[in-house]
Amino acid sequence: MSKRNRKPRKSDEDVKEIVLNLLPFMNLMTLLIPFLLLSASFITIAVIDSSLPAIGAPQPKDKVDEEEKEPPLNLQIGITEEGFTVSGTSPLLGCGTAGKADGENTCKQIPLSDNAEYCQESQCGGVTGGDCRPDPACHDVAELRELIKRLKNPRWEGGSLVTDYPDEGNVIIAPNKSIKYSVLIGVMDATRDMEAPSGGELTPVGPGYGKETSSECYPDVCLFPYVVVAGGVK
Amino acid sequence: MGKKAKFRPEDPEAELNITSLMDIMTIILVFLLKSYSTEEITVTPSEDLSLPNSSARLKPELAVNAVVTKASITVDGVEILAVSGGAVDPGQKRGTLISPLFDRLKDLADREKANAERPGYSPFTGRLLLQIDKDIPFSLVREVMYTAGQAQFGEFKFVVYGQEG
Repeated sequence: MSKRNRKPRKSDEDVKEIVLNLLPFMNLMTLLIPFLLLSASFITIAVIDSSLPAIGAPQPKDKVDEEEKEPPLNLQIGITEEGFTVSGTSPLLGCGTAGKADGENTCKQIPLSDNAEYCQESQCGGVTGGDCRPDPACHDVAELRELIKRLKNPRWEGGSLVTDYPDEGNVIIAPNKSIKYSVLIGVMDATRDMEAPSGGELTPVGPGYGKETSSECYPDVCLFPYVVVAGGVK
Repeated sequence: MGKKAKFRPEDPEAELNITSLMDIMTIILVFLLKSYSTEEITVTPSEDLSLPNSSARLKPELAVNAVVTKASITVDGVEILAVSGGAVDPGQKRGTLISPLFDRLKDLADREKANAERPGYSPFTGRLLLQIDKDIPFSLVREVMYTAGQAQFGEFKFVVYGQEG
């Protein structure tokens, strides 16, 4: 029998290839992606509150005591070309009980840092090369931050978060005329808040949360978040 | 013996395989949806305006927007005066007060106060967003703040590049 006359075998599964129509989906992509590209934000914008010295944020106090157990801190940070001058009534600052130095300034001084790596990180964001040229000596914001942390000293005691100077939240920053704006922002960051210490669980302020564990700067602990920018040292 | 018929395979139909293109589009779409922003204020970085970095997390609110760059001072998109070498022309100042800036801010404050008396408008808050280049010296920052204070804008919001989350 000739093989030519044999009928083609019908396969059991007559599979038809289905081609998916992706055209509407492509239309959607073509419209959505340019729109989203235009409205995408790859940087985060934030704000730092401040106010004029005459109408600075009031001291947060629950009650006014006629006889205060300790004098107010009156924390002031002067920013000069030589570094920081931190003054206040705390013994840590060495200014004396009046918070003012008569004659020579004996308040805590934090000189400039000559660590090139630190200056590169603080002034150029750690980015090497490019147009950013860090200064050989820069303001030691890290050291200032450590001092502020020691001043406030947040810790857990008996399940409650306690700090030194709990009613003090104001800081007066007085930069010199030539100080760059970025240094002022760095000082504001250093005095605002810090990571919660270990030994307890911090909660936000609000109903349902105990006052003993709550922090206005949740998830961090407030240091001195109310900033008043003064006219300057000179 | 017959000649064998030459086998001519049909010309193959070229089909475009767009599966990988769809994969890329889907991933880009998901990423852009995540980056979608509804911020009320806009920052236009340029050579003259580079905001400082900060650990602040507070979100900005709508307010009068003053931008101080290395080249100019702008209020709500309108250029007020030029800046050179981190300072303004002394002829434009009355002591610490920057006259053109004061005039503009005073107009805005008066307008907002007039609007605040109408129903449906929010009261005048004296809030001012300050976008300042990170290398501007404090002397100019102080003059801008003093001028804004005299124009009854006493609540400053320093705009910075913050942290996510």
